[in-house]
Amino acid sequence: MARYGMALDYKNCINCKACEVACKEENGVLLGADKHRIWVGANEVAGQWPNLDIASAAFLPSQCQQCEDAPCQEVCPTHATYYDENGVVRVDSDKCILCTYCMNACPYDARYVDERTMTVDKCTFCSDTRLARGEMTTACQNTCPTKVRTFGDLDDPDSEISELLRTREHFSLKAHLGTKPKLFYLI
Amino acid sequence: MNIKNYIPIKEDISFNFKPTLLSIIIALISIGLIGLYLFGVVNFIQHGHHAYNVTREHPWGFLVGAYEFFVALAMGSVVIGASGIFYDIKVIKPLQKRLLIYGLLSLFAGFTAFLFEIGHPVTMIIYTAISGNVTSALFWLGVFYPLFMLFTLLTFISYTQNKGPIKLFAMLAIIFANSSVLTAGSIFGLLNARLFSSGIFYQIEFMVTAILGGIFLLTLITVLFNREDFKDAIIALKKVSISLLSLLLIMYIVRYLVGIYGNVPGKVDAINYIFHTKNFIIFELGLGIVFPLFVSVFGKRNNIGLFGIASFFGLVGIMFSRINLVNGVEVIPLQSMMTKVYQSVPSIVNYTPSITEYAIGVGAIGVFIFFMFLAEKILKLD
Amino acid sequence: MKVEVSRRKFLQGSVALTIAGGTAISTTNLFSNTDEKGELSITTKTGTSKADNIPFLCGMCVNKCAGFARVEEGIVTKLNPNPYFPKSRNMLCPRGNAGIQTLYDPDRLKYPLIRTGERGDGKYKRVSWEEAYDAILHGTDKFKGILQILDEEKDNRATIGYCNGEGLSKEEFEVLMGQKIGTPNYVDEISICLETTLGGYFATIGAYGEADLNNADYLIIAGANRAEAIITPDTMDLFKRSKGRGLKTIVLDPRFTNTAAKADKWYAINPGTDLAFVLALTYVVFSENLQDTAFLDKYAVGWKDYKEHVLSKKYTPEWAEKITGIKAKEIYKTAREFMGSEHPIYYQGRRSVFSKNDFQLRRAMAIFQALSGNLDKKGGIVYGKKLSIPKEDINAPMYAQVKERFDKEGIAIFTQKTGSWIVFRNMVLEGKNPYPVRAMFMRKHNPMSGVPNTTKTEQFLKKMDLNVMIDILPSDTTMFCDVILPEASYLERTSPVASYGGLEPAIVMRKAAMKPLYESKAPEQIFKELAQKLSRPLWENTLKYDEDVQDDTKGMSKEKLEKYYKENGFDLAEPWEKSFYEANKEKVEKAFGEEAWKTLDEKGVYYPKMEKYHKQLNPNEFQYYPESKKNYSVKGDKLKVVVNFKNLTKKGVDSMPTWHDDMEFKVPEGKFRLITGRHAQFTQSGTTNNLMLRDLIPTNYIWINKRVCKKRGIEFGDTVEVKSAVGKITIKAYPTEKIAPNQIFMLHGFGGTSEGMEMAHGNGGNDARIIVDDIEPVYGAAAMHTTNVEIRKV
Repeated sequence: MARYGMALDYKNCINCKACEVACKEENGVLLGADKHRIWVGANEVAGQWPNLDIASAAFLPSQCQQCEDAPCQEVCPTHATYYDENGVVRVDSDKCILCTYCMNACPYDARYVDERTMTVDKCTFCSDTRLARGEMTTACQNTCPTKVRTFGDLDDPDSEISELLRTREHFSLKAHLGTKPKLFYLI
Repeated sequence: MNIKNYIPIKEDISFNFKPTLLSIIIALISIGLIGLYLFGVVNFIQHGHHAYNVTREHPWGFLVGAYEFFVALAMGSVVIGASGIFYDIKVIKPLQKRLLIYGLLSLFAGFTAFLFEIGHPVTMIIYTAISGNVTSALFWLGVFYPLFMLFTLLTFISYTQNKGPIKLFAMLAIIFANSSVLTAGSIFGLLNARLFSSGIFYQIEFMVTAILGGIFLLTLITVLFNREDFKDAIIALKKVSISLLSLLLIMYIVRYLVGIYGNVPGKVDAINYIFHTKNFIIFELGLGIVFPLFVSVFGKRNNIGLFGIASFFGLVGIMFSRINLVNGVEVIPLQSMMTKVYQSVPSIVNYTPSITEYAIGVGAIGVFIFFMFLAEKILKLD
Repeated sequence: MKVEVSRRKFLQGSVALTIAGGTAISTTNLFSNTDEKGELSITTKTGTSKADNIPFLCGMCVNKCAGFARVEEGIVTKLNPNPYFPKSRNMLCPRGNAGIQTLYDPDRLKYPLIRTGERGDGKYKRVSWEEAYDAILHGTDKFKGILQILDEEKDNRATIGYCNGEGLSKEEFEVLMGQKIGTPNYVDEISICLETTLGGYFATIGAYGEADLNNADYLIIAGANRAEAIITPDTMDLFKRSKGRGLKTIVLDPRFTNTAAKADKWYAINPGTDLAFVLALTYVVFSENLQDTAFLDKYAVGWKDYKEHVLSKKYTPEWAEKITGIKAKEIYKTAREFMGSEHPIYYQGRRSVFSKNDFQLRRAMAIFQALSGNLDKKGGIVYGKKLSIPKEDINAPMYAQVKERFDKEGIAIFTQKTGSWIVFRNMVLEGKNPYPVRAMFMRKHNPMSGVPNTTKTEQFLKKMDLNVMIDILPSDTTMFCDVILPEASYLERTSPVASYGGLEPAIVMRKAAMKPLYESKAPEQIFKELAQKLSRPLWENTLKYDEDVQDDTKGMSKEKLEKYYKENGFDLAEPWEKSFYEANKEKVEKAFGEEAWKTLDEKGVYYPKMEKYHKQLNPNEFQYYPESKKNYSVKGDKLKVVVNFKNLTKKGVDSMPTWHDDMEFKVPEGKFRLITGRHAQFTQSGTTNNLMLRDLIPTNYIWINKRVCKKRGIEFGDTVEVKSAVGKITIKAYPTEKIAPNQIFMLHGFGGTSEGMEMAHGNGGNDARIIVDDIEPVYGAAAMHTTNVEIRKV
């Protein structure tokens, strides 16, 4: 069907964490920093006051990269982690045995244990909430004050995300590991 | 279908207990450990996974390490025993049955620890069978373990009954034992994102320490129970252990150099961290490899008493090496940016096992000893 | 709180129980770590079944962003952005999203309470609404009622003080207390906020203005931390264009904020010395003749006086370097770049006062903007338009006995309506008030956290004979009140329609997504019922003492008296005959028609031709008004910039921005200057009990320079004591290079003492406890950055 990905104009990000809250509220994620599906990463700024390196203070929002060649999917013994029809990496909590092999295999620290079901969980691109209702934006994209994220169908040449990726330079995280992430950071 | 036709059960099963000093000490230790194990289990039943100190960044803990230890011991014992059968090695003959059975029991002991690590064991059994994923090392473990257990059992039965394709079973037991241990190592080796373990090191290290573990276990039993009839086997195996230990030592040295050469982030931090901990230097390297190697090389050829002590420390060293492995794989966080407004910059993922984890992991040793005691009493192993 | 507050699960259905209290990466507990987990909270997963989407306006801060509340089976499961409101640009910040946790906060005030213990000890008893109103009127054995107070004060209504935090029902409370009950003593929160900024800009360019950040190309933003103190639509527009994408952003701030992280340049200016910076910029402009002379000649009054003033006083960049800490060559460069840009903006800023020279600073900033000629045009500071909504006629009664406001000490330009919190409070405490102030009626306000010098606020509240609070949570101030009335939160009420002007004006309305929880009531209902209860007894009191009314009603019959009572506005409950919803419908239909009302009712937003203009441009952005319809230039020839404001000298205020030596930044050796500010996840003290937001920032920390920490052996998380001349607090330390070695920063709003708010209680440090209650001398607004403190590790 579709092949969903996300483009992040990360320079817009102000680290307000609206996306984190929206994700938890939309998807009923437990509170706690160790249970976030998405987060905004920041570095301690380099240099000494007043000569601080502004560029070192960049904010990098991140989440599950929805890899096309996902290590988590490769190592799951029961196929609890699978690709759904839209290319989104999902976890079937009925099949998850909490071996946490996927948590070790993921290069992006995207997975965590949902303590209610004691199974592994992660960002689903709001597949069972917003997308299931027919909406075409994820909670994190929709709420962002500076509109960092653009979610869309990579296979649709007319979609906004395809246009962005064609016209702007972008990179992906840890591309050298060959996971083929579907999150693209626009430069 | 009389079981007695297949399994050599003793006619007069008696749980007699000769109260020598040694056996009392061992009995007390194992009762203590079993008590510890039960305490851990009760804690787990009460609190579930919250009784453990595993976190999002460090999801594998002491129990995985302990489990891998028992697995290695199992594989090693069976490989030695089945090789003895397959290659008609005379010195190992008196030990063979014990080796096979102890291998199985070690695996069961490992399972008793692993049972409380896996979140949903029943789901595991069902879904590994019906929707298994062939790219997953854990799935293949689920394939190889049953085969390994099956062929070990078949080897044992056919060997004791002296019927059937003994050598074939022995060969298959060896093959599946090796497959299992290689797969177990691959669990860590195939993690491309974890530079501490990715590669071929752990597959091979598992095999080497598995066989070493088997040797150490046998030596310990020989020395503790004063089995003169095993002495020749041990002397022969001592020589084997020299080559294996030296190989292991070289592997470690090279691994360290490769790890710190060039300062690759993620690799050098993990290697440096693990190789400079007390756990590694004293227990894994010092007592686990160097001391047994020393004793094997410079000890008197026929004296296995010191080697027995070295074996004990060797086993301890293998246990620590598993724990260091699990810790090393996860000690460097893969996401090193700050995600909270007020926190210190993530550097090392701190992990100390909780009391429950220690209880179950170490207590499983007591369970293993108990299994061995039962096996000694019920089965004819001589 | 000694009242029964049971933590019961009040949501049924597909509710997920969560556990709060996430800690840092390491857990070294040997036993089970369940004791590390905090309190229970609730997040709900949205379902796929049909749900109502009720338009609301967020009340978590002042911006009033528009959203849709997704209500499933009577439970609000998610708050989504409303794409129709131009000002909020289709977004909700973290607090907006976390509003659900405030709505369902287990610590919410659920029923009326009356004090049974001493003020501050938290002993209350639950009563019915009728009993509560009665207690306000007649008092109890623990406190006096308003009737007795007014009787003893001979109907001097000014014995009542009142305050109200910013919100959509604020004006209605002002109507009740100020116009109907008739007290002039309104201590508005504006004097601990942006009163001086507004004053400075109004005095200079006639309005506060809006910065057209979508079209500007050069921006100086000083002390306005838009990345963390979110103001709509500025925050959303600015950060899409900084960092080489069209808007060169120069940030001035003593500390390295998130805004500085997004800047093209950051200058670590000394606190309170912005005025020197602006004067130096102005000097460069004048000395190199870079100003837009044609514009100034046409619109600016007295600009040549100012030029002479600045040049003769030699406000050179070299002079400013010594005061501000910014290198002279940078000031030259900035001034030249600013004037050389086509659309430069010196951002107005909008916060509480830094230091005593704030009024002059804002004037200087407004004048500097005018020097570029970039006023009332695209890409500059614009005036915009506002859609007008018919205002209600309030029949305000005249009370002869009411005395005048007195809180004028030390203030040059006294604001009759809103006064000054600090001066009012301090004068009452020092006995300088000419008549007793005996009651405080408060709503949605927490002076214990908001007004500097908490010790004095506590004394002030204790001094009152009657304290009444209408609020949703048991804040620190609430614990000093005698009667507490629980109000419905913003998701449970419909508020008066509001109009937001600017480039793209609109009117907005919030509708109740659900009925008020527990026994809380909507504001207009409380106003009405309280007014009804007080109306007749207070009228009797007026008849007893008010000579004018006695004259008017001498010899009147009962019917005539009744008629007089009604016609002259003494019926206090009269403005709230209709609910806000009905009143809104009337107003909007009258001004814009029935279709407009339908749109507003359904979408929460309306502006003329909305159906035609409002378009979705891409998955993230909308067009609200087409380019040609945006109100860039509205003033025409009426534009006026007052540079030399001669009349100010009559009040003892400099007519043009002037530097005085006492404005310099000085910190004694070994001490630190305390500065406060915001993070995007909190709104002052109102959100510190919100579980979701507390999850993001569990407690506040004090920023101390890393080198200072190293010398003193302070590490991350260590507890330190911060002491000033007026108080001391303990707080955790955060060593960072983002702050100067002689300054410290802490997030405002923490350190709550109210045990009723379980999450906020005892958590972090309350900066109001240590900030010295200095005021700036023009309006009497609180100066927040003048306090020097000592630190020691405990």
